[in-house]
Amino acid sequence: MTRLSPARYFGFLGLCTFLLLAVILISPGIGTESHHFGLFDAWRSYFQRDTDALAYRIGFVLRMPRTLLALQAGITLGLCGAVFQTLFRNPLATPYTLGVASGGSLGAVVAIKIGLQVSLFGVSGISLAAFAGALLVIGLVFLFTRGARRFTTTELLLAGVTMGLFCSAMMMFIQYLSTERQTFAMVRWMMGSVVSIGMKESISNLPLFLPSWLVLILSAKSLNQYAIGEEIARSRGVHVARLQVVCILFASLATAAVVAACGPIGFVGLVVPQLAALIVGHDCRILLPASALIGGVFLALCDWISQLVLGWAGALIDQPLGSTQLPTGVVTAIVGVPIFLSLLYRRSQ
Amino acid sequence: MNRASQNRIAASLVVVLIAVLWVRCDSKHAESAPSPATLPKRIVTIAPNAAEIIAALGEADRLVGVSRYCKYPPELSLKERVGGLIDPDLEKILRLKPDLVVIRGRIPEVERLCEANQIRLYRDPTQAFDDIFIAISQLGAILEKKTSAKKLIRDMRTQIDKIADAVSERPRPRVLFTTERNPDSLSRVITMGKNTFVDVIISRAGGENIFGDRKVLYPEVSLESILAAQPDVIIEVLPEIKDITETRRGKIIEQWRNLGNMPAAKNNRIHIITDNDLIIPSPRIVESIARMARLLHPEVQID
Repeated sequence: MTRLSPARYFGFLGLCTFLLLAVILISPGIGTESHHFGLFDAWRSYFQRDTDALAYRIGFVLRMPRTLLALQAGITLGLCGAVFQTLFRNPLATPYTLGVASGGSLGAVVAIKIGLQVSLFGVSGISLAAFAGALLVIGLVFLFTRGARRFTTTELLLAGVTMGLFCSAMMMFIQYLSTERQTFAMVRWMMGSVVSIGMKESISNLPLFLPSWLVLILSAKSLNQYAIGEEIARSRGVHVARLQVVCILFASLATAAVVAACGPIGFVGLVVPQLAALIVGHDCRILLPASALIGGVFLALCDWISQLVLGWAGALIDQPLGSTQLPTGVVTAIVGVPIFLSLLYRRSQ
Repeated sequence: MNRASQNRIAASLVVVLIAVLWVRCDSKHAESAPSPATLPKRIVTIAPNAAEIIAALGEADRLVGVSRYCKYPPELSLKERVGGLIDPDLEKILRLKPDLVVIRGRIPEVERLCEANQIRLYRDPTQAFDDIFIAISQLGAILEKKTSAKKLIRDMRTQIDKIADAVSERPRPRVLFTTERNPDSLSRVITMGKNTFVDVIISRAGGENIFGDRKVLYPEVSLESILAAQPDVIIEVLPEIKDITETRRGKIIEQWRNLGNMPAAKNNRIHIITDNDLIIPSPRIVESIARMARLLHPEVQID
């Protein structure tokens, strides 16, 4: 492994962290009603402690929590994507490869179908069911693959993809049996959304995210050895099986929390790690934090675009389209694909 | 990092994780104080049917924001738009300072928004046909328009009974009603099962839904079961085509004719409806039943 110069390490990660903080600071100013309530109004109401003012409610009860949730989800998806791609030695791996998203979606769909109204300790029934579904699928995948003597990543991948397909089929079955309004709620849920109302709601998953982020970033060195080869990693004192289990466990836990809170937001976990690798290289020590930070900023920016773009389009053709928003997952694809393809093209030149 | 320390870190993190999960589950959202039930003056509604009911009760002036699907009555075009079911514009709803927000079914983020900002929320319960009357009388109570609501319900029921009386002596035509199918072929035909709005509208209008015995609400039916059921009338709703050309209409009818020898095809009773107003559960449902009755019983005078 080549030496990582501290200048590059701290330079790049410092830049990303700066962007992240900037995003948080300007988040109270950006939303569908920006032309009525701007950044200045929001911060002024904050410093005047005028918590009843509309500018405060919009800036700090709607906008900032939403951006904070987008950042956390993006960090988690970017980081877990990088870990999975390294672990499975497969650039197509995503945090959802082991069926977390499908399991979570199936849980949510079941909850919507049976009209689960309970909200256990403030967390909504749908989110709880999604979290449970995601964990159940990961548990089953583990159970099946651990039954075999030797535990290989190929078996894990196969089991995960199969469980994912099974869950999708079950979702279709339940949708078929559902009423119009239930189906509608299901489709809406599966589009993903980072809406969160109030600071408390937006950081309620942080206790799950933080330990996972820490564990995964601390595994970077071992993952580097693992990336060279399993035998080499073993000879250098890495406990490969445990590394795999710990990484998959924490990554899945965090991803399950993202799915429960935001629905299956696609694309970030696939493309952000590759984007990061194209910029900083494959050394996990910098790749993992870089994927995390880029993922967070990327998802937050996409979420802003999703809220603003229809307003801009309306201004362009001089006809209000009705201030509406695109699903965040649509924007992540529209924005991410051109960036990614152009980077790929430049590298192949 | 050696093995032992890695082990220890992993173990301690698991403990921390369990601990925080526990704490997280214990933190309860603060209950919002129930807002005092005063007469609402600034209403935002995401539900088109509720907008129609409020307008029918003579209180359209109190609507300050409506969803993009609220198109009737036409005066709603002057109101602020607050997105739709999928993408309610939370910021705009807050900016309009509503004292009542109306939704139908569940829109979790709007419900949470109202809870966090102590805005009164009315959830329209309409699912089955008769729920329309419940929604009207509940909205009437909220708007302190109980008498108008009662009168509206009475008038609606009278008119519905009148239509039913007019067609009661007539033979009941067997109806295939479809809202969705693959546009270029007769595949994936979706129809309406038992107790859906359309099912009830058809039966009140003196017809019989050929798939009214299906327990699935919106079953996809095979072509052979359509053919076997021998519908007397086929009604197809194509709201995505605003101005349907005669060629297009002819093409669609031709597709059904090609399916086989059904009474509907033989007797030229294939109808294409290009608006979606038929199934909005609002006071206009009376008009929908009348419209259906005119299609099913062209020989009967229905006003």
